Amino acid sequence: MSALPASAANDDITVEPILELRDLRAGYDGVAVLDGVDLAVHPGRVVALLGPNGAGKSTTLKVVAGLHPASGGDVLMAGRRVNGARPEDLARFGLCLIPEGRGIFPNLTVHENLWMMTHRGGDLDRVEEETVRRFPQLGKFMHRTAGTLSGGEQQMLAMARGLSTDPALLVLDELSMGLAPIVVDQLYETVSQVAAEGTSILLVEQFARIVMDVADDAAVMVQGKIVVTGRPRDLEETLSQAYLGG
Amino acid sequence: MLDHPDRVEQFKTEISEMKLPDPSSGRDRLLLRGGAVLMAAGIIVAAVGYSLSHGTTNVLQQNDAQVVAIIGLTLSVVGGALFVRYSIAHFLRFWLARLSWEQQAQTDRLIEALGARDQTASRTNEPAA
Repeated sequence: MSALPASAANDDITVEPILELRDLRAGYDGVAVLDGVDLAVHPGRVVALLGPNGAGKSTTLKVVAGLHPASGGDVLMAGRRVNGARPEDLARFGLCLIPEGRGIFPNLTVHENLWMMTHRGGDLDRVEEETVRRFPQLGKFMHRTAGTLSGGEQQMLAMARGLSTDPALLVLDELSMGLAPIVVDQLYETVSQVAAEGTSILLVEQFARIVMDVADDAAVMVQGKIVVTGRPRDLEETLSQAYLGG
Repeated sequence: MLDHPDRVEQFKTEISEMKLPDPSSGRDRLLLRGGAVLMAAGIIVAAVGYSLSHGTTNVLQQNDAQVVAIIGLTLSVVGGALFVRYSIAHFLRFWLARLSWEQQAQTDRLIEALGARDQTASRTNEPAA
């Protein structure tokens, strides 16, 4: 069973998903967290994975990025089963995970954080130029230590670092966590721009409202299972019930 | 509509060419090596048993030494079985891959030959201008 119906997942059902999870299972120390997750992300689409705390959303992203092993089921990328692939290989080929908690080097400056992303021979000037184009406010903080930036600016830096790798599939884990609504709106505006440029995006959020204008499709996850899929706008009520344990 | 379909195509190509570690091949290799080690260790244990048995006239000690030698032989047989099982599996896997490759090459040659024959036939059947 596909979590996202073909009509919702993509207008053209013949297009192969860039990422597909089939009956995915995973856990920690024998405790099952994912209990048969089915999900598909088609090229150029934004898919939101919604659900309450402890539903298994972040674990799903970790398994997709190769950071946590699947105990069963399949992770398919561009039609190929990639269970057991090394995270560095997936990252090199174009999967970019921006983890919960930002994933920047707080002791380095913004400039140095961006510099770190040129280890594969990228051009630092181009990375900085692209960063300032997307996030103009980071331009004046280039030589400031990243740890002293506000939460929103740190998240922007994390995104700038991720986007400098020219990802084919961007995976975002709770971009909005701990941020002011205005900053969240600004970040999701950038996500919309990135999606419009053709990058496929899988994002995790707790509330459907946040991703309503960004995501094409959404899936609600409760206790390690996808319980309902559809447009984010249509899922708010289901999500509220999931929070209340209904 | 994608703005950069090339990026998706590049991703697909790179993912299809990615080398994935096969967890089962690691286990097979471990059991093959384990079998070889057991085989050698079993022979050594049997030899030690023989030497213990030979070095005493006490029947009880000789009995114990014989038990040790039998355990050594059992280990050696089990190790040998593991070694043979995984050596054959490795060889058969290689042989199967070789067979499918040869079959594919043969099919390609056949298609090429048939195509060439059809072309020659159509040229022969063309009326002279």
